[in-house]
Amino acid sequence: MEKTLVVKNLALAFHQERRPVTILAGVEFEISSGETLALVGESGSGKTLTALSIVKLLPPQARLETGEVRLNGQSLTSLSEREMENIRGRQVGLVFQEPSAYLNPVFTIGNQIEEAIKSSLSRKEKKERVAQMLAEVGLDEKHYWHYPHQLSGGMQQRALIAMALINHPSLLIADEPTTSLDVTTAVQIISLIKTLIKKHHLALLFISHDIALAHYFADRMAVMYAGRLVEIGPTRTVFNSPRHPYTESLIACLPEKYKPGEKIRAIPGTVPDFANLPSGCPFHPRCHRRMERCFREEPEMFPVASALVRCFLYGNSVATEPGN
Amino acid sequence: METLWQLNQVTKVYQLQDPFGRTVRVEALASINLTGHRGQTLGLVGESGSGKSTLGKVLLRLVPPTSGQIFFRGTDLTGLSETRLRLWRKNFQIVFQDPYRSLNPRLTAGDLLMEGIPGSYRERVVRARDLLLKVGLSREDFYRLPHQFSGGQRQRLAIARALGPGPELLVCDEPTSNLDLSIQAQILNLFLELKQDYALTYLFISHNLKVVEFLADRIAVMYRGHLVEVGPTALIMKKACHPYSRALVASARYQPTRMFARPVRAGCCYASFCPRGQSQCYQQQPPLQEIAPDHQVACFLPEGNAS
Repeated sequence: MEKTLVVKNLALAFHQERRPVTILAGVEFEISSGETLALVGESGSGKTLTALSIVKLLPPQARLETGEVRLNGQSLTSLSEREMENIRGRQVGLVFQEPSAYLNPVFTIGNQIEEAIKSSLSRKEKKERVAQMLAEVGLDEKHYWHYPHQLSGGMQQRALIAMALINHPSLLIADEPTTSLDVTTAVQIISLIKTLIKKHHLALLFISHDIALAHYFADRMAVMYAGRLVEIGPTRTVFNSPRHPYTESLIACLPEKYKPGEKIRAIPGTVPDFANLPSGCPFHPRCHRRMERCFREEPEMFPVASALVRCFLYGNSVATEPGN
Repeated sequence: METLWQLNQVTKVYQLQDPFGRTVRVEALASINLTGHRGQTLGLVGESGSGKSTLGKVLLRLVPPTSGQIFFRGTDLTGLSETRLRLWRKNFQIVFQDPYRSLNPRLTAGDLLMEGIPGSYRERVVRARDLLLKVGLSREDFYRLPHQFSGGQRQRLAIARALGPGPELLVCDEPTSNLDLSIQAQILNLFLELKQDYALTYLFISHNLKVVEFLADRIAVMYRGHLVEVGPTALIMKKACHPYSRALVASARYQPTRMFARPVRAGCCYASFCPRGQSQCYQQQPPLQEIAPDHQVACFLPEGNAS
């Protein structure tokens, strides 16, 4: 059976000023229905642009160089903007970070959720559908008549989840859906999304900078660095026995892994700028296990156990053989 | 343990105007009693809008309290004039969340640092150079402007600037919340190092309980302007007694807590969400009481038995 979402060899570049700047290179993953894939990385690693490439909501200077996106067997790459409008909302639901930014302050919540319905239903049927959706996301019936400012951040996010799911999409993309919320609320929203995924057999692409949250939440995890996937595999494998030095170091940066008074094993340096990426493997300047060839060549994905890892430690170790 | 600073019955009330011109009273701090021990890190946690930052600013007299007293090394700061207060300011400094907005964009790193350092020009240059290296920046950074630094480097600069006058107390208001995990780790390590090297006392304000757990000796939990629980870090993380602290600890471990929402106008600050409310809770705010040595809770029905 075909997966819900298949992303193949995605490459994206920004065309501005003099030369194009490569942002994404060789991004590949799949999500089947009912499965959650967490896309994890620090800011500026290309997580959000990956999501936006899937639904083709890219900024004007961005251009897809290569790659294919297939949703339920249909290729989205060649679709026109008109056709994409039918995909967004209908087949793909989107939830973003700052809920208040996506709600119109002068319309009621019910009104806005209703507006998102794409199929032709009677007025009464639409109302019923909205009421049903409100209940599913844990909002009260009375919130139908409320304006966005009358709802807390958590409730606004619930309303947006209702809006994203109202057309029964097969894929939900949630880009940092809890980042602007308080911790207690964030955990409630996460468990709500989890319940809804199970119930509706949705495929979920969950984008987060929080690798600990992704570990708790996702079935599979993909770690991004400088526009590349560096490791992808089942969450438990990736989190408990990380293979790529970046994944390993990132997990070691979690303060909860240390006893009081212990120092964190921090990654030196900063995330590189896309305009001047280091040669070879983009992580090599910060890597504690770099080899000579990492300066020159960029590794591909090598299979290790049930994961794929973009690192020369795990394959193709020609350079270490003498005379080759 | 020696007391460095103390808040005694401190309240802060903001009088705001709503869009219709009516005055609204917002109690940002409600009769806060809190003590900071010399050489220790006190972590202050709570959700946004709980009054954490206000507490930090009131402690440094950046914002005057509505009532109550602030003691620093036994001296009441509340009665001091601005001029007298200025002499005290070198003893307590603050690091903010967003270093870009707290550093003058037109001054070089060197100038920014030298502003806060007392002494002759030569002394100030030397000390500014030392501080740059101390916080992990390089000599060349002396002549760079804030926008030429990355977020993490800018936060290092803000920390160096706070250290310039040689403070004993450093209030850190969400200093790592804007930073990526790998940079946060570097900055947390820096805080550990500086604490040792300069024998600093921290008030570390954050919404991130995991960061606070890592750094703090004691944790104070705030909810809607009230301190609801204060105690040693290990105790709060394992055996918190206030239902809100428990919810916070559970959330840090990604366990959702059931939230009740009933409209309650009077009584305990947490009564509308508390799963255990009884009649008393809807009538008055429970006072912060010592239920075990060095463990205070503001709850009529504290959960578990801490002692």
